[in-house]
Amino acid sequence: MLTKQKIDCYIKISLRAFLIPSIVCTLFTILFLTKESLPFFAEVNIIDFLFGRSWQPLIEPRSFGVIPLIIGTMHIVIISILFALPVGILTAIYLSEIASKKHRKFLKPILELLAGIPSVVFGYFALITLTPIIRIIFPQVEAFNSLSAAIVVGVMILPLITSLCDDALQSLPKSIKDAAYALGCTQFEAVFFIQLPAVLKQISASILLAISRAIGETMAVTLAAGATPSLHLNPLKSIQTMTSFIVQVCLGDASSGTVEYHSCFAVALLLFIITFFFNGLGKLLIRKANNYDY
Amino acid sequence: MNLLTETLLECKNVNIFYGKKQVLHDINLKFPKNKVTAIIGPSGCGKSTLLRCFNRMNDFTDGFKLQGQIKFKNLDIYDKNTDVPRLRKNVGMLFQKPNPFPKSIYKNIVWGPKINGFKMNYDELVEKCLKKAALWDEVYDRQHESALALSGGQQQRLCIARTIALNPEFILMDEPCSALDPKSTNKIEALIKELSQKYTIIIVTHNMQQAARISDNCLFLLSGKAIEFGDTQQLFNSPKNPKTKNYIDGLFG
Amino acid sequence: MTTRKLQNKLFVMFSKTCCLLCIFILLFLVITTLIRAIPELSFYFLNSYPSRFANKAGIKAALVGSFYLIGLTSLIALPIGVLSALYLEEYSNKKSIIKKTLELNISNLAAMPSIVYGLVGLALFARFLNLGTSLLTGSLTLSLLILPIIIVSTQAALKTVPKSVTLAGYAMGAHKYQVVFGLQLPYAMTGILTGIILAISRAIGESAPLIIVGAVGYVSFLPTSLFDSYTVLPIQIFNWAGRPNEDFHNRSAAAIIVLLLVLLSFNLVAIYLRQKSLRNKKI
Repeated sequence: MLTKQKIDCYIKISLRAFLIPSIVCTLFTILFLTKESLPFFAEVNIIDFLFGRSWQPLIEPRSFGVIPLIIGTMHIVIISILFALPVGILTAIYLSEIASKKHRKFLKPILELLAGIPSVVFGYFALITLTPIIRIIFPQVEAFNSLSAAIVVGVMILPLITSLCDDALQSLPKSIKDAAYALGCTQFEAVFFIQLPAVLKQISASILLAISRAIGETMAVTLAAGATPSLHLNPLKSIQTMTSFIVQVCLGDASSGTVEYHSCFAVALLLFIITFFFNGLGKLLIRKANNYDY
Repeated sequence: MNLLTETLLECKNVNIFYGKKQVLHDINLKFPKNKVTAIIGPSGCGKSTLLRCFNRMNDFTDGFKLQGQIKFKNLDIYDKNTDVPRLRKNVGMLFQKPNPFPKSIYKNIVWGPKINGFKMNYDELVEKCLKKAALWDEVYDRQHESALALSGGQQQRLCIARTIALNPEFILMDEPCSALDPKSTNKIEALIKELSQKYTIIIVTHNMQQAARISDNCLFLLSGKAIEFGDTQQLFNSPKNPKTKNYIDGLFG
Repeated sequence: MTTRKLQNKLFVMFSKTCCLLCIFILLFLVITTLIRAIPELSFYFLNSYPSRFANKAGIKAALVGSFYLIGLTSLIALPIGVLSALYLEEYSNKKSIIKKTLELNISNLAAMPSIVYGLVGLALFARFLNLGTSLLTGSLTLSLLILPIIIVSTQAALKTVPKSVTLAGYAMGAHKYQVVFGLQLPYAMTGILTGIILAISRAIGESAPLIIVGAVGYVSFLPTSLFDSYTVLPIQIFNWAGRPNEDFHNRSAAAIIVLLLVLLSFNLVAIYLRQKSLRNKKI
């Protein structure tokens, strides 16, 4: 007889069954990444990989030093953060402290729209619209360059920084602001000397999460930043990031078992570890910030 | 206490622990049928804890442990074989803060009977319960609107209505008026008096005047111990225990 | 004016400028793309296959491919994601190590770069399970990508159910499944749907993982089985934007506009749902 207790039992078992694919997926992701990278590290010394300054995996003479890719990725990260951080924080301050409730109501969805635009669209914009504009100011800029890619990556990570900082400022109790103004502060002083320091953890977390996102960005850099791994620091020239290298190999003809194929996974594993680190730190900071009882 | 009154609920040597901390000591009580029994005492003395034992809502609290027996109609409700949802159907509960479901007024009342498999004319049931809870006149023309649009007092009366829709034998009330204004409180107190003709009610209250107004019997708890239990008028006018006298005179809580 | 007042004025001005800058960037992006795209948009564009000639190239294969891919991905990822989250939030032992490890894993995976998902999909589905560069591989890979997002947002939605409602349900003699499916799930439903819509919007715009698992840029047929090759709109955009021919850039712009319109409609549904849920829960 189908009693209610039995129904409860069956439902619990069925739901547990749906949990299995989730467990399998999360396990297998990390497993396969490692498994497919191992053949690479069997052929290439890990020290040479991590600290080598020449990356030429597809043409003879081959070299597998990943530093050029890391420098390429850093081009993107540094320039995008330089753009997104001040603009993001100031926008968050405007939305949270200065804008009227009416304005805030329609400004926030606009920022969410910006966050929803796929990266391939930004890649198109960087390559086709932005680079010619940059050429007007810097005529020596190459067709593929890290500057235009980095600017659009900055636009991509901007909503992340803005929404996190806005949430943080909104969560501050009103009493803190009241105390500051009662002492005769201007709005600038209250924001910069009282409110922002109070949400420093969340701001740092937003930076870390934004860096992680910038490191993992693929389509914009693939379209606009080029495929020349090198050690230069000139944003007007072409580079290659870890992510665009992976795309390059996969668009080519790498068959399974070759060093090129496995080098993809080695770079991906490195990418995973780096973003995992930044993400973990960012989330830890957010958790610590939320544990505070005002 | 009049031993000829039928006992519905009985506590035998009940000791209750939250983890290692003991919160109720040696409770031995018999709650009579069709009477209103008030549980009074200062904050934190275990009133709500004792109340929540009677419909096993304490099961949801971490570290809860009960020693002894609580018998409802002579069956131990903490026995392993107890059908707990069935127990809860027969023992209704009203919470301190009104908590109607985020559904319409109609659906709030009908939900309990539906999930317990009652087959009846739901429209009639809703009308009957709303009338019994003195809410019909105020909401008869908006039964299908959200229950959350009602005022606090109306929401609490709706909670009463949905509780009696299940036709319980017992109704437990955990400080049902503490979140309400005096006017709503009066309405609900009048309701409790009327309901006690059909149902047995145990009400926890920190308001001594309320206990004196509406209850037939009174239990005074202090630091987890049952100090005195008896007829309300007698307990308030000539308490047997000096601690009871001190509380009533206002020296405590 | 004193320095403090001047400082304050400049500060307010800068903040406002930054906010307006964001809006300006959005408008600039859309308008410049729109200018290139409008001459190209036509029913012919929507209804033709890609071609070597820019003026004959269309997005039919890409649109249909996207549609099939997202449909299949939703079919796979939604039940697994929502029901896993339901189990984790309501039925699992709060202190279980499996639960804590799984939740940690899921929250980390939710932030993993999408290209890494592509590689896992390549190794696991395309090569190990021998599914090749098919529609099935693509949707399994995308399911892998959006699964953590759905689980995290469903759990968050279930957490918003007030404890008082849950306790009231139990107090009325309901069994666990009646409380979960009759009270908690309906309450959390709009939150869950919003999370699902956002996850699907993300999947629609993804191209990196699909490139890795072999969705190609030149498909001149519609996929008829799970094992056919396919292309999707973002990859078509990528493919055309990367060509030196200016006309293909314009076709790419037109495809972008179509993609943005699809995403916009999803976003509007999500906003509507969120407003509706706020209205129903007004206390």
